[in-house]
Amino acid sequence: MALETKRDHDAIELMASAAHDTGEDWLADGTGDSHRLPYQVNAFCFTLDVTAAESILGDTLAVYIQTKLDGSNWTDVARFAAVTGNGGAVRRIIRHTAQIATAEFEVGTGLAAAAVRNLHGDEWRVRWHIERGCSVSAAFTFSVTAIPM
Amino acid sequence: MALEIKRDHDATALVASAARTETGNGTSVRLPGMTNAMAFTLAVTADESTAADLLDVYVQTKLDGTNWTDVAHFTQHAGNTGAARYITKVTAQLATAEFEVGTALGAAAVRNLLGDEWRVRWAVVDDSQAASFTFAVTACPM
Repeated sequence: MALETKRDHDAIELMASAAHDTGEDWLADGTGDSHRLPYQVNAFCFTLDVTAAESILGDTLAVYIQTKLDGSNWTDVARFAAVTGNGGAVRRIIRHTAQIATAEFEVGTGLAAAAVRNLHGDEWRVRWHIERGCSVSAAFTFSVTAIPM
Repeated sequence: MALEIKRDHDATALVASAARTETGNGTSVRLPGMTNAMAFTLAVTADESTAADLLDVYVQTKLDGTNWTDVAHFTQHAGNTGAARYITKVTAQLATAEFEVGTALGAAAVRNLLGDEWRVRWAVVDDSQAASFTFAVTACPM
């Protein structure tokens, strides 16, 4: 039997491109919609595509990937490196592997930047956290895509 | 053929949430076979106890059709910790050194072995004579 050929639609948009900002607040938090991803894959590759950062140096964007392991609670399993407001357009890729160990942890423990917990749950979503430095309103336009491998 | 999409019921309760005051174990559960790994979540929602009251929770599997073997041991939970949720993982592709089954599995440790059946066992140290821990354990294949 020939190996199955990879198809375009295996890449799934976890969050469509949109601008998110703090307004006049110092912080802004948000989450995307829940998604189902393919099952029993070796790994997922997540791409964070920041196309615009109408912000300044002190403004920061943190983007996390979350999954549900127990049917109820969202757990952070990947965190991209922080995006700074004066960095311009950036595209960051992080990989998340079913076959690699993850040491036991308590869920209250924060996940560091550019780190992963190699856990694949039933549902997936994106959450983000924007902090405003000295700008009037920190704004970032970004999308997140998942691709199984 | 499209890749199969993950479903809700893949997350399976190994033991439902209940208050436990004594050492015991749950019933045998079948989980999906030939997976890459299993993640186990221990959710402790109440611990009306003192610091000297201790809870140890293990996940066991059957590798020979007969005997239960410890393959995951969560961090020991003290009675005054409060609610906590611990996640651990056993992975089919990773090595596990040979061991004699009488050798204790340390806290926050795993043996990367996936057998035919699964269950939870727990040990309660009741120093206060009133120890009670309410917890559940869930398995999620990946």
